[in-house]
Amino acid sequence: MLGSSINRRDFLRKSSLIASGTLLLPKFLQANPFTEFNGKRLVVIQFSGGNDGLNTVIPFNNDLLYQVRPTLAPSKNNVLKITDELGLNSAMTGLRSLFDDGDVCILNGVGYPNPSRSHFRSMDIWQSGSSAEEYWSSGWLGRYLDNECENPDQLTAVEMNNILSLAMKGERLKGLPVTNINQFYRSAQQITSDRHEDHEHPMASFLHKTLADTKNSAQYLFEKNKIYSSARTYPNNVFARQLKEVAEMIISGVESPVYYISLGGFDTHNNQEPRQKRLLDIYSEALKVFADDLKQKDEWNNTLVMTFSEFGRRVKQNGSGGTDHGKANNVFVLGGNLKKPGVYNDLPSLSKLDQGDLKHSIDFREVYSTILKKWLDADSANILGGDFDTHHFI
Amino acid sequence: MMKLNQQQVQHLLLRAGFGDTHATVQKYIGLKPADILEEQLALATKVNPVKIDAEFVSYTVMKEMSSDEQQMMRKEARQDVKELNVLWLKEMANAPSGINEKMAFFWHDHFACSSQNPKFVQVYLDAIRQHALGNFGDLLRAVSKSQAILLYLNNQQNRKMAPNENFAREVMELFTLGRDEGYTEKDISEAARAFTGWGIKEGEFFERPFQHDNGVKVIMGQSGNFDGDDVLDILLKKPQTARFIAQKWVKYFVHYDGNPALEKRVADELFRTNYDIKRALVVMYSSDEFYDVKNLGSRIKSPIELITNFQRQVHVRIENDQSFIFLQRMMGQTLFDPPNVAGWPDGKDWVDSASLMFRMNLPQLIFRSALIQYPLAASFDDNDQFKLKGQLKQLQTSIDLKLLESSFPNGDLAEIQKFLLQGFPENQDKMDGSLIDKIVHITSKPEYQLC
Repeated sequence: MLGSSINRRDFLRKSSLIASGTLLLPKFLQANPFTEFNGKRLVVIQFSGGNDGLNTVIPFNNDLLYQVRPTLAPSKNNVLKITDELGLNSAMTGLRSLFDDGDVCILNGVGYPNPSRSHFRSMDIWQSGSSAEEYWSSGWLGRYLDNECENPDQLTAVEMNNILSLAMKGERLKGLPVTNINQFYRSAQQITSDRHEDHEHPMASFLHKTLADTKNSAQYLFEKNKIYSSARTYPNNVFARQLKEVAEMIISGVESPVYYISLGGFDTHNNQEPRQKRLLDIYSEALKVFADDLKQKDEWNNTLVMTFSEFGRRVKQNGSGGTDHGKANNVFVLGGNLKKPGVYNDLPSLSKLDQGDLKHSIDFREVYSTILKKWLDADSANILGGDFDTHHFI
Repeated sequence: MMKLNQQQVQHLLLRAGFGDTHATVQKYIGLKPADILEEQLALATKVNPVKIDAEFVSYTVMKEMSSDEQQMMRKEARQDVKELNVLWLKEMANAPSGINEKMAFFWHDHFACSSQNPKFVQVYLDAIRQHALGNFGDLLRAVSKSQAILLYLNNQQNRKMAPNENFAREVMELFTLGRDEGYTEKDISEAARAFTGWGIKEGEFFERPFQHDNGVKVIMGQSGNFDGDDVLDILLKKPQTARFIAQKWVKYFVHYDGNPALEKRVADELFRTNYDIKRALVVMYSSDEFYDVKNLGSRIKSPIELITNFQRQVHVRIENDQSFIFLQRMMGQTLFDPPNVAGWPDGKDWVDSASLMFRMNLPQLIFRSALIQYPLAASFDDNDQFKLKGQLKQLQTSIDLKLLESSFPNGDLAEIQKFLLQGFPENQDKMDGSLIDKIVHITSKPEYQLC
């Protein structure tokens, strides 16, 4: 890592000598695929497996909680208090510090009618933006790209993954999955595509075009990403490294309006306490460094981070020190430009449950609609297939 | 009747099956489609068992186990389903003809379903494999009474006093008539009443008499005290069912765009023969339309097709379970794990930048034991039955080099390309190197993704 950062510095020095710079950059590096790219970025973080929201944002004054979760709910003194009623899981000191800076908004009780307790189905619903009754084969962010991205040859949006999530698949355009930019660039270089002429064969030309776009994007990311290399120390884990790459892309000026990252392992049917704590710690610490990184480079105000999970977990703990699949859950929205930092709305009632689960009070598509309209200036109704209410957290 | 050239023989073997060796292709050049099909169907008459020893453990027995024992049971169950997945993939590669397994694979997509219970998966798999080329009515009845489908589509919850329409809806929308084709919401709720009581007891299909609604139902204009079998009969008597199946076949096996004239002939044959799958397929695969040059290489191989093509065409075998599971997950198609009731999206949906890069690096992984660069993203479901244990560094494969070399004694690159790139017989490349080098070179081209 050290070696490559020296090289990058070296590159920076050299490129500053040719300050006008553009001479050396291929044309596609200068082009902006978004005719109206407003410089605002959305980073979506997915907690895969169903994070236990009730042990993330904890209603420590509610006796009911301790009745149904006698061994799981942390005691009053063991939470990071953010209001008189709610506290964060003690592993989330980083998030707490951002909360105190007014960079966090917590939405409680986010879900949808007739919720599914299947990981895969519920994740598909969240990622596609459909109702529980519909099966959509495109994702909400993919349709955002379809709607707003003018030039389909250019980089669209980046997912830190080796498989593209449904959320990032549009009808026409798709995001770009990358796990490691340098490695991605090297493998793209290895692939030879010798037919440059236009294929008469429509499927072959589709494949060649996808390949050419991939190589272009790989080169774009590789070249562009040399501009900034973060000097900050991110924690040593995959999630933090991916967040670091996202920070570097943002600060380097990569023109991707959307980044997507997943953190998995939240399916805590047994022995939940240490497992969830470890994951929340990974999330919270990396996010704190990420925010500080962007703040220092004046990019935090142009960045919105949304964190969700496919469902919350059952209110009552199960017999193996864990929790089973549930329904409504909290969503975190972070950024330097929040209209309403803090706790946005009340936690759903712990006594009025739906088959032992929290009932939702905010439809997740209202969160999407708010972000699409107010943050990305996009045609939300078209993208979500209907007009959903917006909220005033941004 | 036409005699097939090499590209046409390959087209037939790739679409009707999973492709075949160079020697098989050579043998068929100059023959008529009907003769080739006759031999392929004869080879497929005996369906090799794909079986595991899965014992059914009833819920009452399960309840009495300690939680450790239960956990062990579930672990074994997951392992069993995984084993069935791998055994079936191996059979796809090893069966003398690919035609039965290809059809069974099509039916798995058509009757999409997943289950955590190995016995239920076994029954379901037996149904789609045994009837793959048989009678569609028998297939429909067997699948509709399989535990996996009934559970997947919630018919266990379909009771007289509280009907659940999911099963009845999917039987019409996905299995027989097709969406919005000649039935109403009222027909669905009436059919759901007829299916009340179909469920499972002690692991077997069981018609629960006290849950069945014995009243008169009106379904698509007919009225009577129908039960589930009656509904299936009513649906099979509708020519629309044959039309729907034929349309799906032509889009899947011939060209994504479909072909109304061909669809009609195939549907007519299917209906006329009271749903003889084999005879209707012969009509489709013998037609002039099937061999239209625009169909050659017009289909993007699904991951299962790609994995199996490699194995059947060039004498390579994937050896261990982990490698099979890894490949399926990496490319997004895992047997017994379709994304939803509608099955797998087809065509361009298989390709995005990451999946294409992976597919194009696949020959390196298969033929050169290249190191796997990308770890598979961790599964987010504790109960994920297709979870990989640890990280896979390399695929385990074996190549029968002798057989391979006997197919290409001169190592002629043009001949290799003509064999492996469907619809792109012309070659301008020159290269030295071993036969394996050349096969890697050709199969690393984007055109190898097409069939």
